[in-house]
Amino acid sequence: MNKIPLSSSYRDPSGFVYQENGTIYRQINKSYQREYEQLLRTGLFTDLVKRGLLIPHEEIKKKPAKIIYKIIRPQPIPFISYVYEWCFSQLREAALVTLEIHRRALKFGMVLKDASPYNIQFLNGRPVLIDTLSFAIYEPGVPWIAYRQFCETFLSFLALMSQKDLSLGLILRAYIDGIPLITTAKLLPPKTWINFGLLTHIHLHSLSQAYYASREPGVPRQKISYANLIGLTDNLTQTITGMKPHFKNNGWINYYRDFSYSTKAMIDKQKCVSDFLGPGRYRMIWDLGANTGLFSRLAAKKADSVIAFDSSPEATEKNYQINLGKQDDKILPLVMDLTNPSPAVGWANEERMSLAERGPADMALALGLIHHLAIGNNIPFSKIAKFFKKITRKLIIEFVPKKDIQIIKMLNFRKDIFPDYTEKAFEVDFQKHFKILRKKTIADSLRSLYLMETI
Amino acid sequence: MRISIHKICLILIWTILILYFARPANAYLDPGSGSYIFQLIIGILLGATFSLKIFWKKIIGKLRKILSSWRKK
Repeated sequence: MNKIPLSSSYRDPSGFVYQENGTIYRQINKSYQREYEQLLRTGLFTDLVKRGLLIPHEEIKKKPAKIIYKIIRPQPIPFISYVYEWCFSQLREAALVTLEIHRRALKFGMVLKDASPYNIQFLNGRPVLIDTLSFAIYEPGVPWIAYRQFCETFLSFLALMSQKDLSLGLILRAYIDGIPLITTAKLLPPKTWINFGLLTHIHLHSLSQAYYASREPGVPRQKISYANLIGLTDNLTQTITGMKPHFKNNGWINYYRDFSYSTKAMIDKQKCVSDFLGPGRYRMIWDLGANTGLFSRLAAKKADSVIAFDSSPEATEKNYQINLGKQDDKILPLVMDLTNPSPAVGWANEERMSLAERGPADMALALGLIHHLAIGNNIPFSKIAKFFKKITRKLIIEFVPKKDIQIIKMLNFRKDIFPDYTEKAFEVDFQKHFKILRKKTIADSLRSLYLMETI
Repeated sequence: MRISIHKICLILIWTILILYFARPANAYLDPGSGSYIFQLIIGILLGATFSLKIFWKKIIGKLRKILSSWRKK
């Protein structure tokens, strides 16, 4: 039996997730039997799955042995993403889903014992809870055990992104288990003291933590009523619902409107990309430098899943909003700087996977990207090709020549130290890792598109 | 009505709890107890405002029904 436990699944004595012959399973231990039976018996499981809030699973028929109570096979998630890769609205939706699940659980006599963003994944464009063992039996009078975690993760991250800067989502790569409330409180601007929700759950909450940290309060005799727990959950929901992303005006969102392509060129580029994708269907396409997702939506017509990466949190937010409006559930936009992609983090650098570990994709689009990497970031073609070979099997890549208006603008105030930035050098370096299958110059443009396959 | 309840709560909480917690303390390694106790305190206020909100919604709902039945007459 080739049972490989997932390196991120070790903290919960109720069970763990493992992989066997390429399929993900969850082992439920006998210590969790009572909770699991209550989850099913009360109808909470059915209610949450019906509403698309909890991942459905199949019970695998197996004789209980030693500590094992049951084995379940959850519905697979096509692409695992992490909270530090989500745009503002994805994080807000994930937070609201967590609170909604907790509120519903209370009605069925259970509570969420974790409020970790890593328990949420995106399936068909919507956040779902993937940790089926996250439920505990409600004990009257006992406060919500996950309240602090919720405030230090979801609420803190959202507050910083909405009150300060969207790019603060990246802070979460450092504070993977949550930001200490005292730190969040110090980073937030003074106006948050007159926001009732943030005043309560961040500022006063952090002061309370500091106060009791150096004291021994003993076991409190007071209890919290059911109505008060509902009120707390409702207030957190209202606070988060009222948050808006803090947009700064930069050039990225208007990229397609302002620069580089005439209408004729844009139509031809779309036709060419569609043609290069071919008649078949891909399991997974990665759109690198997706911006607001124009080509992600084109690729989605020929794929089961499209992951749309862009370094701009604003463009990723816009991509997410457009897909919601079109009810396009195959695209997952994520914030990703390809010059500094998500590393492997957590215990022993194994808990959360790097970007490359979550690939390779069957096809990647690298449109309007090469010049940002090679000239904008001084990365040689050979290094770009080597990285792309690691993350995809096939590639549609656009070469942007030096005479292109974008590059002229980039080199306006910089010295041109790129004598090797030529189409010939590009082809030579890429052919060390890829076979060029097709090439076409875009009409009414200096740019060319290539279809390549790894060798 | 809802806005002024929140404003009153803001002032009350701000005054009482700021004065109570505003002494310097050495933040140590276990913030769990602070969160636990804070939830007990804040739960009372939030439970009350939530109950008031639900009650107020019911009143508004009933008033709307009465108004619309008057209009039909």
